[in-house]
Amino acid sequence: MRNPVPGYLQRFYDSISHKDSISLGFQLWVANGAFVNKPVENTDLGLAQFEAHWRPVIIGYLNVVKNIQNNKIIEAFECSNTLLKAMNRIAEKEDDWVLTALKTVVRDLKLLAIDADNEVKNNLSIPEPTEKYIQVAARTINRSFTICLNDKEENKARNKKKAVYFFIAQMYSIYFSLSNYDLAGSVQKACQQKMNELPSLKEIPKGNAISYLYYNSCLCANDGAFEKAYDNLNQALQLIGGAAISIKYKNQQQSILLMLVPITFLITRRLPSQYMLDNFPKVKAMYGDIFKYAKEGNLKNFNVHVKKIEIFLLRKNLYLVFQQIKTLVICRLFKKTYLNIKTLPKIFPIYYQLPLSAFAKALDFANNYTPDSQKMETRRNSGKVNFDLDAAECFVANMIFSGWIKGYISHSKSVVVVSKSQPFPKLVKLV
Amino acid sequence: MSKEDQIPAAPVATPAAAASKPEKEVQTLEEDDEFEDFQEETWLDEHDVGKQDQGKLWDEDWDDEDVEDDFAQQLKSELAKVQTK
Repeated sequence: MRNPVPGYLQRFYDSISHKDSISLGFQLWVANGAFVNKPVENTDLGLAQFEAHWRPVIIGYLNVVKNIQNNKIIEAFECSNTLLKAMNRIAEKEDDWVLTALKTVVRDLKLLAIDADNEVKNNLSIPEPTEKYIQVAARTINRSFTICLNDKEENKARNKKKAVYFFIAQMYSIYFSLSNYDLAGSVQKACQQKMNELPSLKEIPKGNAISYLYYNSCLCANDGAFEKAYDNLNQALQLIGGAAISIKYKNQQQSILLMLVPITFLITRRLPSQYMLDNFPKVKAMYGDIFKYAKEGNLKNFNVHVKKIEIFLLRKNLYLVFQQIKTLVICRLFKKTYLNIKTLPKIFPIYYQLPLSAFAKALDFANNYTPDSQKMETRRNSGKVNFDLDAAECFVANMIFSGWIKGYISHSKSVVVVSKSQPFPKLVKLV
Repeated sequence: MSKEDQIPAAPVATPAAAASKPEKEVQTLEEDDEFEDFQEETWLDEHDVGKQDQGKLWDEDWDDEDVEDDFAQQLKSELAKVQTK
């Protein structure tokens, strides 16, 4: 069989002599390695025509491909890491035309690092390295990031700063997978100092902007900055197509919605529509029931479902969002209590004077709700009912303070006197 | 990622290895739910995104006054038992 490497070297040579960004990226893409249809045994193959700093790039790439073909994933990772280091040295010298290739190498390195870490995990005969391969990869990627962030090129069109968002997203995704938010925070800090020098998100490839916005929203959620997260996620959703379902990028759209649904509810009280639930099965699986129960004021079922998806919520920094939503569910329960009281004039003669005992009763009922009324009766009769007037009063007081309930509490009479016209005003924002 | 994912049979610009992964079980909550990387550097118009159809993503019905469901009905019968002075 004819040796394919010389042909590859020729294509590589053409790419760099024409500064062809896309072509160079293609030459360094691991998935393009199939051109080597037999193992590359000898990489010393007429590299003399290349400038010295390009040679380690070529050798590095061929070694990555060779190791993958021999199923040596850890070695492939090591070579890929060396390849990125060599590309970083290239990036220090060249302008923005090398960015496509640099990004391609970064993506492959990240995938190989994940594979190498899995290999260690699954194969007990492999000694565990002192740190995860993904951490090693993160350091090399951080170097690419720093080079681009500090690019002094005056011609804006040729400046490598436009790739900064791509690297931030890559590093955030790695740091989040390691649950290391401090490192993510330090990347954010490094950028904030240079924010005014960075291009706007409209000037960079859409995919890069969307990934950046997504990961940035995760960081905001981790800091409890939900309004900012909401803003970032909405921008990402608009860029990917808004309400139109993207066929090609549906998975990414779904990931955005999985973050956006609870945060949107918290900020604006809007709920996912049936259309959204029908088109995004994972959104439905996670949130379909929860918001149904939230709307009913059904605390018990709400809590049970939050518990079910607890791990997911913790991983996505959404747990706190649901803790806040829970307060809204209680408010919803109180509204249902009020609406029901209005229909029971014999027991509650003045519909806008609500005894705290009714709220306590509602809380107790909602916390122990079971669809089977028989069981409820049994439980009641077994003496486990716990009326806690203080807890009810505390909830109501907080809601009055927050403006969710219009009225006042008469502590001595244990009665909540609510507005006759609008006891539960419509709200846009949480406190 | 297997070797096959890494090296396609022909050197054509197929999208991500990630994109070729089979669809995972939706119900599995423990699954890896990483945000999928975009492999393409540029996509500019609707044709690239491949838009399907468009509907309303959000409902504004949080504040409804519905007390017809089983939960609200049971709540009502509980409230009917409250002793008022």
